[in-house]
Amino acid sequence: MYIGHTPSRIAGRATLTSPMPDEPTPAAAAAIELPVLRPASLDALRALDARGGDAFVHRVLNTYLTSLDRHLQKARNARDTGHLGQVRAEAHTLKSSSESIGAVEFARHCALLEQRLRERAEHHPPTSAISEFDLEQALNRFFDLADVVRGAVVAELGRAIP
Amino acid sequence: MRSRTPSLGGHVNERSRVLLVDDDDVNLMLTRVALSHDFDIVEATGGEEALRLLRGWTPDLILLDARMPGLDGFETCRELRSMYGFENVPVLMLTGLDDEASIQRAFQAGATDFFVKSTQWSLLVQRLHYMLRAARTNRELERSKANLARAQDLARMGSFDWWYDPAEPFGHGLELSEQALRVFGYGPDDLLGVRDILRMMSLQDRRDIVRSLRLLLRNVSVIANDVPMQLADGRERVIHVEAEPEFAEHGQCIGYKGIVQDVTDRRHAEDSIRRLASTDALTTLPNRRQLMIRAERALEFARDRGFSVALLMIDLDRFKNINDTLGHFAGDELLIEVSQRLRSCVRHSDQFTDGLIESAGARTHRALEAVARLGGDEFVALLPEVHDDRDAERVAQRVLDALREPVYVAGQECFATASVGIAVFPRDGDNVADLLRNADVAMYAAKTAGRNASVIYSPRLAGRGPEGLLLETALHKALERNELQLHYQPKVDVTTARMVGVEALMRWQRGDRLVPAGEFIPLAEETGLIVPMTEWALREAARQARVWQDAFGFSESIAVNMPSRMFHRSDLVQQIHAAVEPHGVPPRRLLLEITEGTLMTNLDQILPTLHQLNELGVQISVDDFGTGYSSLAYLTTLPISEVKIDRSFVQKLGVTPKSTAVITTIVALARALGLRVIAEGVETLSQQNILHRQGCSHMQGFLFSRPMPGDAMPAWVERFSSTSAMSAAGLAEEAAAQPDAGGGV
Repeated sequence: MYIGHTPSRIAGRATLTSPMPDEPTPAAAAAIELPVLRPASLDALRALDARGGDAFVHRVLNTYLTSLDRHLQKARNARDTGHLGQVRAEAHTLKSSSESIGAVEFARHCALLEQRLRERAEHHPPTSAISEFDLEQALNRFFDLADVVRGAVVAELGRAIP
Repeated sequence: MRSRTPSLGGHVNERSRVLLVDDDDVNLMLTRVALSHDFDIVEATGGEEALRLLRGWTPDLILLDARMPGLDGFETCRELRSMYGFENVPVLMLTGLDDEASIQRAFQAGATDFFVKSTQWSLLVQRLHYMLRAARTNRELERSKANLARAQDLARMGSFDWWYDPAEPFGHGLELSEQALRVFGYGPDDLLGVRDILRMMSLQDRRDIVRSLRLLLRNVSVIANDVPMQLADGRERVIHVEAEPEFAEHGQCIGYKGIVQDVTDRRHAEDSIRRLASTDALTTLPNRRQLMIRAERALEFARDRGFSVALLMIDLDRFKNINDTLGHFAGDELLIEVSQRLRSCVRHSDQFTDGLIESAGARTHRALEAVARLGGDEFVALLPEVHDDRDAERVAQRVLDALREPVYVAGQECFATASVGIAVFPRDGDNVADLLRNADVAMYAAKTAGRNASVIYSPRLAGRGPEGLLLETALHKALERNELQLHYQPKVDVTTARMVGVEALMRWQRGDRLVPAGEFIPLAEETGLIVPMTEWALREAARQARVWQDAFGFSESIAVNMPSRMFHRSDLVQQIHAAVEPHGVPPRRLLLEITEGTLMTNLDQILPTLHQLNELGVQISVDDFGTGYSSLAYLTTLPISEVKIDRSFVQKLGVTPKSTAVITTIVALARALGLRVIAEGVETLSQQNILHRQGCSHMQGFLFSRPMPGDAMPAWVERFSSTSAMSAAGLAEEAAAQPDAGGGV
């Protein structure tokens, strides 16, 4: 799956389009299509358990999927109730596991969101360090990208999204 | 908790056990898979679960995710560090790349290290290996430190660093290890500075130490000192301090590194050894060795400062009698009592050290003053500073007075008077040996003069010259040292070729030389030593009689020469008893020879004793008969058994007719009085034949035998009996042909 404004599939791999809204990119930068799950990371997972091979990768992705759903649900609930600290914790958790399965772009956004929320939390009252608008955009993108990654993982597992 | 290991508590393999704590399932799974090839992994999904697990199990390493819901990694780490046994377990905190705050917090919480989460798992594996190795090294280091601490505790030792400020060296900068603090009686958290330690010393020691420390710091020397201290709890200890200087980059001394050790026990042991080596075991007075050291030091002082030093040689009078009559235990008791009295006569100092002498002031040579025991009943008082002879005499008088009081030993009252000889440096000798010898000479002069007195050495005492004095001194000691011997010359009956008795002749084994009686008996008589020497001769003769009796059936008598002084004693009869009884021989085994001159000069005094002896069975022989002026009237009443023709007549036989006439007369007289007659000094066959013809068959002289040691006698007797039978037979025939001449009785 690739992500421009519309996800697409190329050779069974998901991609997403850069830049993300908050990233410092050249104004004229064209959308670059990147795979949602970096193949090298999946290869590394495969190598981690040489005997398990694809079966191991599948187990990891299954575990990730379960974890993603759980944390996304918690994150959504937290956003709805205004507990941004909880959102930050979920982003933190998803950051490293997403990095591990090769969801690099999503992991980077998790890190960015976590950082923004930390900065926001450390300034009382909230300063101009981050505007409510930017925060809203970052949150939206977090959930959007999560959905994309979820789709890519499901696709990787060869399963349809329930 | 999810465990991937067969058991938690019962690991038997060498693989290290790692507790992995992470709230994220994916991370847990990946990390476990990455590590499980090298380690045994136990998982926990949160801090609370991890702590629960650690209550019953200790992993080799803990891998903690920093940020977790609930109890996060930092709190978990802080908690487990407070748990017993987890103070040193390595904890690796997993953090994000951009999370510097977490890294700082990790260390603050007690984490050993941090690791930025990464998909490069091999890096994590290697980091864990490194941490485990480091932990093992740390554990070994801790164990070594603990062993060292234990060893230091056992050795009562600790280390210190002293980074001193040259401007104020006794201010701050002293760092003592826990063990070193314990040496000083302080706890591990106490602070102790140089000044505190200095305050544990006596004022004098403190001054000395500060002075020598300033010198050490100036010269950058090694510190090595034993310092007596009183610790805060009042214990008196000796602390050994040893340290070497530490230098900075440019060679300047910046401090000292060293150890302190409580060496009190060792020091006491050394003191005991030193005391034993320098003390007389019986009396605890300084011994000869210690006296020599003290006297040498006293002379050094005296030479430097122009003092006079006095040595008083103190010898107990008749101590031997006490020892012999009351036994050695009583003798020892007496010596102990005497030593205590002597101690009180001077400013006795039991111990002195070189350090004391050197460090103390000008009057400390007084600490050398003491009474020492040289051995036996000989004591020496060392007076390191006397102004004149009167000072020494006063002390001598004090000694005599102290010993005048009776001593009670073995339930008996004894009087242990002493004779004191005084020698004063530098007049009477410029070294200790000369002074001791001259004090000895003076002491014997005191004994000769009647004992219980003191005499100051003077060259006039050496009236017979130094050799004579030396001889006299040595003779005094000959008896104590068992240097006297008895040799025996047989008396024979030439008619029967039989030994009829022996005469005991005293010899003195003086070094390598056997001194004949003629060289020392006159001196012994002059000094009065002849009395104890004769007493000894009586005992020795009785002993020998018993030995011969057992060896070859000796049943004759041994003649012992008796000086006139012996008859002045009222206890001569008891002396004879005491001599023979221990050996089970009858008194008649002893024959007392008394010269004609002695007999006639003191006849009134001697006569009662002679009668007593005669009643006892002891025979009396009149020696040198014919040389004096015997009263024939007395001669008829004297209880004597034998007359001995003086050798001067025998030697002139055949030379002057008068000699033959004298001998004829003596023989006739003896026969008339019923006495045996014996000729001494027979050296030739001609003399033997003439004597025999004159009716004297008992003879003694070189013709038959020279004096010999007692153990040579059995062989001589056997030889004489066999070889003399022929000539004896000839003489017997000759005697039969001249019946008027008569046989020696």
